[in-house]
Amino acid sequence: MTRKIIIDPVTRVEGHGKVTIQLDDDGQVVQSRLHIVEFRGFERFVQGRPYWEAPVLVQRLCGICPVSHHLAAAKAMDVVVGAGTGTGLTPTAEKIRRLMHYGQVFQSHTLHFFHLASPDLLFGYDAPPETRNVMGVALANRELATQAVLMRKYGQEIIAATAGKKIHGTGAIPGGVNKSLSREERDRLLKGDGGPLNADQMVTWAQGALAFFKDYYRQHRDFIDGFSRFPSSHLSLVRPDGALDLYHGVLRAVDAEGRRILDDVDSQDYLQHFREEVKSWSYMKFPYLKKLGPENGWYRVGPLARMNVADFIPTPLAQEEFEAFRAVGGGKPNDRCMLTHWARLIEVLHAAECMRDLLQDPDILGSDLVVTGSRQSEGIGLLEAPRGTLFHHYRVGEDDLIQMANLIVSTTNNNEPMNRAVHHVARAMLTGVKEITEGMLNAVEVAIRAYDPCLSCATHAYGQMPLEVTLVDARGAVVARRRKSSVLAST
Amino acid sequence: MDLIHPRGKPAGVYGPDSPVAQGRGGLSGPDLPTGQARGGLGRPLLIYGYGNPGRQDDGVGIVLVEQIEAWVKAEGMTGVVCDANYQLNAEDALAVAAAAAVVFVDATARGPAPFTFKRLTPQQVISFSTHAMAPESVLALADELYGARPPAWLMGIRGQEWEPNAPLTASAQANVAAAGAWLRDWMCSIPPA
Repeated sequence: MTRKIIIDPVTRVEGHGKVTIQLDDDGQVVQSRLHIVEFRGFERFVQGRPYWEAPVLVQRLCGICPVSHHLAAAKAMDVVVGAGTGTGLTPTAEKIRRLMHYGQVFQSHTLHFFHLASPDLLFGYDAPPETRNVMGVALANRELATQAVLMRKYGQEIIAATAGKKIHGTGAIPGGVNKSLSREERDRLLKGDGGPLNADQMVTWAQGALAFFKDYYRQHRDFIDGFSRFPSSHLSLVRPDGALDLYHGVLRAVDAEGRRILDDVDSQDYLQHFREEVKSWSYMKFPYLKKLGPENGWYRVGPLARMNVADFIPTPLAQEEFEAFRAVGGGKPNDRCMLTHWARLIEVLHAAECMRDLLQDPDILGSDLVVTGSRQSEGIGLLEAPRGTLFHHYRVGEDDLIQMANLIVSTTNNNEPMNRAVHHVARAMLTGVKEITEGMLNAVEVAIRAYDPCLSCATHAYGQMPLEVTLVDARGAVVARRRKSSVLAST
Repeated sequence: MDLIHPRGKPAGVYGPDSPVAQGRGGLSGPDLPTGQARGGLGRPLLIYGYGNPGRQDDGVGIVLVEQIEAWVKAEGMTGVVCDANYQLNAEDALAVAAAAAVVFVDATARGPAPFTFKRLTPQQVISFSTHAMAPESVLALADELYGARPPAWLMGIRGQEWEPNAPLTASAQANVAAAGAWLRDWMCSIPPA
């Protein structure tokens, strides 16, 4: 009898993921799918709106990573107003945008590591859910939790200072930015107000988080190296000289052996190289490299991919960590899913170094904010968002209204890898089982969680991201189902 | 910092059908120990709205807090801090820890209109890979990390539509108006030090 496992959410917010695992008569896992069950057609919503509204409008996509969408849309609209394809802004405008972006990456990665990943590491994925959360971290390691709160706070303050406000920021506009930093803002963010919220402290704490993870890795190497490990290609933007660059660059992809399969192509040419496959069982599309086809052209994006694609990191402390990370791969791209957490923390350190450097750069106090040029009818803006490569593409009519929008968000780029991760874990843990234990359910979660998916973004729903798992037999009958709802638990 | 309304408590605005008047909306008064919210602690009352104002009625909490902030300023009220964001997260434990009392304002897709108002206790809220925290969890984190346990409430304003549009639906606007009137009353009813 074939059986199927489902993971499902119940909250007031609709966007959620559902995992279905099918077993055959012998109890072998034959198929695992991460379904996305919400679709809201955001691209259609922006049609007919003035192009200059796009950088603010797209923040409606998601309250989790609005800055990434804000900046990607602004980059696309830079092209539309004739401000070039990524290098045409004034030094002040580009550096303010970069500061905003590094603030976003810093606070987003911090949230993921301390809230979502560290509970799994501190307590194990088979620990009770009452302890596997940020409160458990606070109880077990107060210093770590306190640092996480302040790191998040610092990132949010960088965003508020550069975007103008916390909600629906307006800092980035087509052709530049609408504000730079005042000297007072710069001094406060660089030095703090006598407290720990200063740029040097963020670098120190980022190094501490890395030390925490590397210590864990030394003690749990078998688990980290073996959990949900599978070969894949990797995609990222890189600076033309091969450096890690989260804000702008050319598109590069490498295969599982490290061979280039996409060789530093201009982001404006992405349509020549990418396709998206639609599958009947998911609203989330499956992007792939056109020349390799859907079967072989899928790839990973995000921190792990970026470490595998870039040649070096252009900040010294992160570069040291990068070299240690790459040494583990033995000269090939690293395919250990759980080392995404290490890669993520290297990027936290890189972002902290970049923020510190930018805050000492007089250009961020400048007043030359906007450039314009020859109006174009089409604009493409790419960005390395915290979760991976983010594509925004618009066509604009002579009436200045948006005629077409196409968005490929980071989580969509990771659709196939997340499905494979679930299948890998399901085969390892659910083959031949008669019931679903909490530990098994959690293992599926942990595999997905490594990609830090934002299903809210991917489905253009809003808010949160709950999960449901269902086990189904060979005849399609549901044998077991477990839901991850938001539930209260006593502290 | 004291919470002081220079004109005293305004008249109530609730009709007999109001869920608050009928006791369905939660508290009918501030339910604060004297001096706690405005305090002798020298700490402010925090009014914190969250949601995405680009998602129609998901933004009712933001809209209400903006209105409350304008009203506080116009009335010259002191001892009130207003804040807002897309969602609650760990760093909000800092603001909670600095407050004498907290009112969270959120949208709700279920429950009675125009709003509910309920007391919160610090608790973990467990969910899958969420990138946001429940208000109970923020309170628990403030308690654990900073030893702060201010009294807190959640005002849940009923919404109807959640599409990527603005502004609010007509029914949500009416609910915000009712919630705002009640909250202003509630704030004014907090006794002076």
